[in-house]
Amino acid sequence: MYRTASSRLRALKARTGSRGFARYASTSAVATKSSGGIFSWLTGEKSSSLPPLDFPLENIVLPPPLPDYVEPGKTKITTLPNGVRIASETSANPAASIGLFVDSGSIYENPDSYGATHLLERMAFKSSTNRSHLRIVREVEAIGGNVTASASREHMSYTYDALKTYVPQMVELLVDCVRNPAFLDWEVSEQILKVSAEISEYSKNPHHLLLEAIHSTGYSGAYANGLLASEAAVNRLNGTVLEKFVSEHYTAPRIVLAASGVEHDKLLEYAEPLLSDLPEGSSPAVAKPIYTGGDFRRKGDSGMTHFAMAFEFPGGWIKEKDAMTLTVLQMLMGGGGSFSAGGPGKGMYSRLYLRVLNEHPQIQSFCAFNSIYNHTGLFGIQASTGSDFAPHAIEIACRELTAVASPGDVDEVQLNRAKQSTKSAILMNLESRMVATEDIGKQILTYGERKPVEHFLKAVDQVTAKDIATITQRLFESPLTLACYGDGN
Amino acid sequence: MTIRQLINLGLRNRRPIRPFTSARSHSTAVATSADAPLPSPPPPTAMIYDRLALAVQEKLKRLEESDPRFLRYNSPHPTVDSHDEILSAPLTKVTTLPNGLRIATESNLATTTATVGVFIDAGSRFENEDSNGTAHFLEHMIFKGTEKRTARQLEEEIENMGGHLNAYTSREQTTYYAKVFDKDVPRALDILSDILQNSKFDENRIIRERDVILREMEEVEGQTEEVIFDHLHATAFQYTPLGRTILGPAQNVRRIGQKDIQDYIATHYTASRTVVLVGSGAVKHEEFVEEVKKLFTKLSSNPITSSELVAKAPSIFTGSEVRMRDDDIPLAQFAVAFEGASWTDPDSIALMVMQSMLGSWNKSAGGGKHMGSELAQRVGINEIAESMMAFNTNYKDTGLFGVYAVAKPDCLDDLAYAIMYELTKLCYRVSEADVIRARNQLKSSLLLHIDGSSPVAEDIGRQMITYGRRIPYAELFARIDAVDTSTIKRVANRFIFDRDVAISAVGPVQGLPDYNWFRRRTYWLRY
Repeated sequence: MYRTASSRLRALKARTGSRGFARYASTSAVATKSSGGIFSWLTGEKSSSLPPLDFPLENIVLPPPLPDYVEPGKTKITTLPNGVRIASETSANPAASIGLFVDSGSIYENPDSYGATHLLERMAFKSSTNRSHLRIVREVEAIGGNVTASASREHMSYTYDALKTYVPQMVELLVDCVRNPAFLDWEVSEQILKVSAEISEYSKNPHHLLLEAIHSTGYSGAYANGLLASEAAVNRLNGTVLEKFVSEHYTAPRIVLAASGVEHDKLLEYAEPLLSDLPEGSSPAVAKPIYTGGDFRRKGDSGMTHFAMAFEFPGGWIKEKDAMTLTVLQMLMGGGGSFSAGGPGKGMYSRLYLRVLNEHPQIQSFCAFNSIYNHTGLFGIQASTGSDFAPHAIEIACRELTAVASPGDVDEVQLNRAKQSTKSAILMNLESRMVATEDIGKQILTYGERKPVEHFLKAVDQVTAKDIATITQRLFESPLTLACYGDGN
Repeated sequence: MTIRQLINLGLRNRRPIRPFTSARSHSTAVATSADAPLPSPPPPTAMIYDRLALAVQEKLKRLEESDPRFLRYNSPHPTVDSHDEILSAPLTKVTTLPNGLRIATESNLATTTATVGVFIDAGSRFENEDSNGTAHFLEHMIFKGTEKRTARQLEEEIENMGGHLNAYTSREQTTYYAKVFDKDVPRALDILSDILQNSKFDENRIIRERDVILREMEEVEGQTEEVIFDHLHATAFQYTPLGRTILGPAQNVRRIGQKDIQDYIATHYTASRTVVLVGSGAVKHEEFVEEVKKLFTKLSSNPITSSELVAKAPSIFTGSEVRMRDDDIPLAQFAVAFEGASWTDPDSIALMVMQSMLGSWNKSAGGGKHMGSELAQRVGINEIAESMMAFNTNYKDTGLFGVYAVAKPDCLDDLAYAIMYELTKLCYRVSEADVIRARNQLKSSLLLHIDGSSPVAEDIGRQMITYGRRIPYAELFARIDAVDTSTIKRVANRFIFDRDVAISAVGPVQGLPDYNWFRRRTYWLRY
């Protein structure tokens, strides 16, 4: 009698919400045995009836397996009347990754809004005008997804990664959070505190410090804006500034919604009503990069000297062929830390390893770096050594850069190795759907289309030793930027 | 901000006031939609804070009218959804050769890259007191030259084809894998078979590698999280195989020589019991099997199975603790663990759901105080930890289930209370919404993790070794869906209720409650 009463109660509970049916529907797919014994009835427990994991479960309907060859999805792009671009490609993976990419970043900041990009990154997925922060967190958790936001000098990206079943939910939440942020005062001030803490932490990290310094000294104008603004600038920010920044820069023609693992029609169906009324706005003057070169020094008392030297690579991603040559050049020079753990395949036979790190044990790390933007780029060498060896290390860095500029110094074996590594790095990264989404979004923002990966691979194949020498010579035409941090400068 | 607003207000007031109401309403309409965020001017007699209050009110008013377009699909309440449509996956094909070697592949011929790996059912738990560290030493030595290739030739060969070769050793599993272009798969197989069967283990190389390993040990000792989990194993499985570390004690590393390594290979890297070859990405099963047949001919045929070894030297959980007090470091770290389930235990799925119910939290996570996990809420709202993470580790005959946390020294007692309360609560009070949410999160995290050919190969290799088969997604999801509130309570009663705990703590831990306090909180007397 008690039992019937309790089961009736349970049934009633199940019906209180319309979701109750759905909840019970799928669990009943697995045969759950009825409760046994008075004790388990008292505690409401059931004993386990499933076989161990090394034995297959019976009564499971397996979906038909996919064939070994699934035609790779072509990237389809639709431009809405107001200029928003929606792009997607299909995949065989059970998960989808959707990203909203905005052509906005620290280069669009002005003295009033220094640091806005960084703060916007931290304010992503906070309260919108339609949902509270609590609701956003719970909605993401309810489907088990992952949301991330990241900011760079030229792009903002907001991505959502979840199972394919949840595409409508993903699109809705993503667009709402980017389009309608509420910038509540208390949320903004809480994040400003976190941003300041992050900035002071990064300024202690020599790698980040030097990379920022290279930009702020090497360029004047928009590209000199720090991705990490000064703490004073960040403390001046508030919700009003952010709102203004977003309404100016998050305009329809500058937004791309990209997805990997979603049918294009389906994506359009959900995204179009949410994005088609986004105002077009007026496109701001594109900031021209002005490279000046310069010298940055900061004292530190760690007994170590870290330095980075760089030259401008005029052109940027727009000049694809040169950009690919530069990427190959970076792979060719390679380098890294002197105690690098791990097996072969990490560039242990790149030039800087063979010629510098293996020869000079005083050097802790020595590597080539590049940061390429749409219309400009930087290429150089970054190193950490004991302070007394620093002058010598700078000499070595200059010697290495001039060596690749002289024709005939780079042999075919080295070049082919660098080309193979570049190609495999591109392809292995694109295996991941998150990287694929980012690639779609950023390519559309830069080129207005998505070039097939074969196009870039071909460009890599065509790089010759002469190209490497020519591009390095062209780098030398720009003035040098040098940034040092540590003892003894 | 105040000052700027006042200035703006001043500017606004200086504008000529339009006499017509119609024109005025027009201007406010523009104001709400476009740039000027300021509210209608308050009366000039209003104080500054009144003006500010008005500004905030105006802002909040925008939040009241939500746009139904954006609220159609999402719901903060977790629901059970059918994933039948998305669960088709390429077939995992398995071939067992006459000598017992198992070959498993999952093909995705649309890509041009592939991962080829050897997963071996061997690790530090199969060593003994004297040989502890050999498995890891071997992992280092295996890239150091074979009869056909010197170390340099091997490295250059991999680099020239743009590939990666990597290895890792854990307590129960050793993995070697290569990521290469599709056309290089046979060569990658050749390299893997060469290093596994023909490595030379030159004495000079061994001496050189010893220093590298000793340096690696110093590095690991600097990573407190690793140290905590090593100590946790050492105390929880004291005097049994899982208690030993992977790297082994320094005196063993100094002693291990060529013969030890060769013996280890002969006993453990056997075809019949331990080697699984996995290919994923651009590989064809039949061609792959043929290649493997040709290359892997010299594997040892020692008939002992790993389950026999486990039965001979089982790992036994002992409730105990280890604390390393060090008041010079700023943050304390500790882990509390119960004995968990073995890989094949059907309740291990319920433990995974429980792990996801407890969740993880850290200071910079976007969820903040709003996360669904009540432990995360307690930690976030009371600010009693820097980070917190529930863990669930499985082994062949046992497991560890618990929570790891990092905190300031003065919060340790509150944090310990929160952790023990939430852990023990799983035996008594479990809400259905929490279970459904945790199930959804678990399902997603299992599938989202498989992104690219290497995670696929890793997943196949691990499952082939632990389950002897690859569990189809549909079955995995059905097993997860079978976990409901009553299952959680039953499994919590089995693993948590009045059970011994193992604790390991490092740092300024004088504020961490004693062992009996923790043990007492594994059951409630009043609820």
